Amino acid sequence: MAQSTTRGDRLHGALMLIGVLAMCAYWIAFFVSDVTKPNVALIDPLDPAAFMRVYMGFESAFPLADGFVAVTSALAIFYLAAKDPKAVLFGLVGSGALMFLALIDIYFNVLNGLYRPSRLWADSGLQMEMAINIICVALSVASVIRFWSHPLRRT
Amino acid sequence: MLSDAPLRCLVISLALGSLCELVSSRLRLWRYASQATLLANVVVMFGLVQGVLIAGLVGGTRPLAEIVPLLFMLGAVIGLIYEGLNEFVVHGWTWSDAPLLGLTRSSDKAAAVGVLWGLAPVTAAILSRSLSLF
Repeated sequence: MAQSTTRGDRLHGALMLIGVLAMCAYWIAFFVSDVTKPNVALIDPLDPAAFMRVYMGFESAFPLADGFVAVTSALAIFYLAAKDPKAVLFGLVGSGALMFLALIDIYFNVLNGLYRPSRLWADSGLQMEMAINIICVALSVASVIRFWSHPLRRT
Repeated sequence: MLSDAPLRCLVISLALGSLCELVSSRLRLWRYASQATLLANVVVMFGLVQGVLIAGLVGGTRPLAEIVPLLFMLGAVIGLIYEGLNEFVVHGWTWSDAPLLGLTRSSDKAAAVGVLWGLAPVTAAILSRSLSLF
């Protein structure tokens, strides 16, 4: 546990912290505004209310699991700063959980036609959703690779 | 009186903070560098951040079952940042040798307490809703 914090650790920690804070901001926005919600009239013009019920039911199931990802990732950042091997444990747990949640979200969007180019082009809520999905997958893969090869794993 | 949710959460969180500090002082769990830090911990972190901002404003009047996971997430993430800043940068308080939840290393204690901060806005929101019934 005597290693110094490297530039890579600082960058990794900063990216994870931005991700955790963005996750918190997303859920605050979800509960206090409509900015994160898709334009349901565009997705299902015949029965937008029915689609909204399905969408809200699906999305409302995420905060507890997202909370788990946010807290384990924050613990990974904390222990990375402490140069403690527990950073690897919490980092891998948080990154794996993030990938799991991202894949559930992506497949829901694919099955319900939310990623059709015509809809994506016309709806900023869906554009944000897709950007979040891509960032979650990329950050999760990069984090798993980096934590698995981190020197703290061998201490 | 106290009909406003953020105000109720402020009062409840200040009471929670005072209770935590009283218990920790009796058990000698941590020691503050100055009395001003203790006051800031109770008033700013417990009262304003966890109480008014998270439990009162984010929690609002939404159903508890919907909002509790978000309140815990926000409280714990901010708590971990707060404990991390103290542990690695500010050193406003130091941990005693007494074990906390079976933990003996100061960084482990700080991490555990950081996560436990998540209970502060949850408790404030639950008590605030209960008080509003009377």
